[in-house]
Amino acid sequence: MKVIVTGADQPLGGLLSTRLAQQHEVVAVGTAEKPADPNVLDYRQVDLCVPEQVDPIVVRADIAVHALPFDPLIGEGAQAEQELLERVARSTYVLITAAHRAGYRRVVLISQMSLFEDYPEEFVVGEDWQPLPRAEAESLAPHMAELVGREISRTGRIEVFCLRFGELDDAQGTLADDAVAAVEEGMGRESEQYGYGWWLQHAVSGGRYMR
Amino acid sequence: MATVDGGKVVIFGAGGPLGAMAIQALKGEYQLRITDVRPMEEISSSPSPQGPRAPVPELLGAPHENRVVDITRYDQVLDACRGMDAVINVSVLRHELSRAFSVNYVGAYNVAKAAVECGVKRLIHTGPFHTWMGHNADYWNDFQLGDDIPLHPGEDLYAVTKYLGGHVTRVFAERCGLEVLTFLYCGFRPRKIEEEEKGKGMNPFLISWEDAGESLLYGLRGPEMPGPYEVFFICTPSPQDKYRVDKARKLLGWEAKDRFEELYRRS
Repeated sequence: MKVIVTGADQPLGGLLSTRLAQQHEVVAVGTAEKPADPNVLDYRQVDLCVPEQVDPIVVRADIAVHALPFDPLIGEGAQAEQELLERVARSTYVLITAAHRAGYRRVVLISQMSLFEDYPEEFVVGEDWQPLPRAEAESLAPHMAELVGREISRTGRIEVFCLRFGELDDAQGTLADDAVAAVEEGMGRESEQYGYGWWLQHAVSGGRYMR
Repeated sequence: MATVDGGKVVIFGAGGPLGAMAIQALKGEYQLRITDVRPMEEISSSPSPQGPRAPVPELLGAPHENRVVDITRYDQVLDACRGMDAVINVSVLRHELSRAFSVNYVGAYNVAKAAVECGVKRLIHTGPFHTWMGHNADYWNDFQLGDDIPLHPGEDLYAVTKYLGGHVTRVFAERCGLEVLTFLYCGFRPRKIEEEEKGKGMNPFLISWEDAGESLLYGLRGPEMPGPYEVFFICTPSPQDKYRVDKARKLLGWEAKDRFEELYRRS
């Protein structure tokens, strides 16, 4: 497959860009000048909030893995929270609507298990539990990305497969191999038989969310 | 008790038509801090960009205050919330990608965060209820819809960004003890019905500008709400029976005065 991986200037996007490239043709994108992993071959510096920059990249592939919401970098300065919120939600909106226009069947969106950390530890939390973001930008941002993806997918025009990961490469979170395997499965999976456009899956390797 | 019977109220986005009617309804009851990204002097002396029948805000003097505030800038929003008893956010930006996210979504975050930081009792947040979104989950074919149904904005920029703003305020309400009332609107029109409009039919989610302004007064005065985040359809009862309007009557004691029968009755 031809795959766009976003957030390639951060650890998860860097990991996915290199590992998925073993099986697929990968275009890795990020906002930084260079990718997180120097082994990423085809890296583009793209502002995902700008459709004019996203459209030419999207037409080069047939599926997107939007890893940016998992580990977006918060900047500095008085407006850092605001910029983070806007970058994560707006990039998700721009990417998924561009993918829809380009005829994609699916986008894989990566979010965070931390949305559930305020449930009591003894609760067996699954995909049918309401996320509990905190009233803080870093917690709200991935939740808002999910809402954008879920609502666009509800139109029936594109599927969004949302994976929630725990801390990357942590035995209590999501190990790198498990993250890559979950994304591969999300990319290749058959469409849901009842026609839902939005799927959720918690992909953890251990810890409190393991079932 | 979050009821705000008097005191100081800041309005964000006061330069639009809904802001104009909020000023009209509240100016005799509260000390207002009237804010918009453009100077109110400039706005009040210009025709409304929404057409000749849309209200233009009156420029108030002391004890009220007019202030230029960019809702996307947290420092400005925080400063505007200081000393206030309640906050009303009627700001909106519909069609421009960058500003829609920063005003409708990040602006809502700034307002909710500043309200919490300043110990404001009540926030009235506003947004649209889109009756038609062009997809199967938009409720277009449904009837007797209640105020608390989840919105399904699809991929419409305006609807999505306002939807995110609503969820942000919900999280602040549930997490921080801020009481948030979200008022949803769809169609606005003047109270006065022109001769040529009679018998031409009626939008089932409609409110007069005048009633819309007054709803905000009831929102401030309403008793403590059952939950920290309550959503209200702000529309007049209509014989189409698509949208229920009883929640605002029960919880706020408000209902629309203008029923617009001349629009849907043949004379």
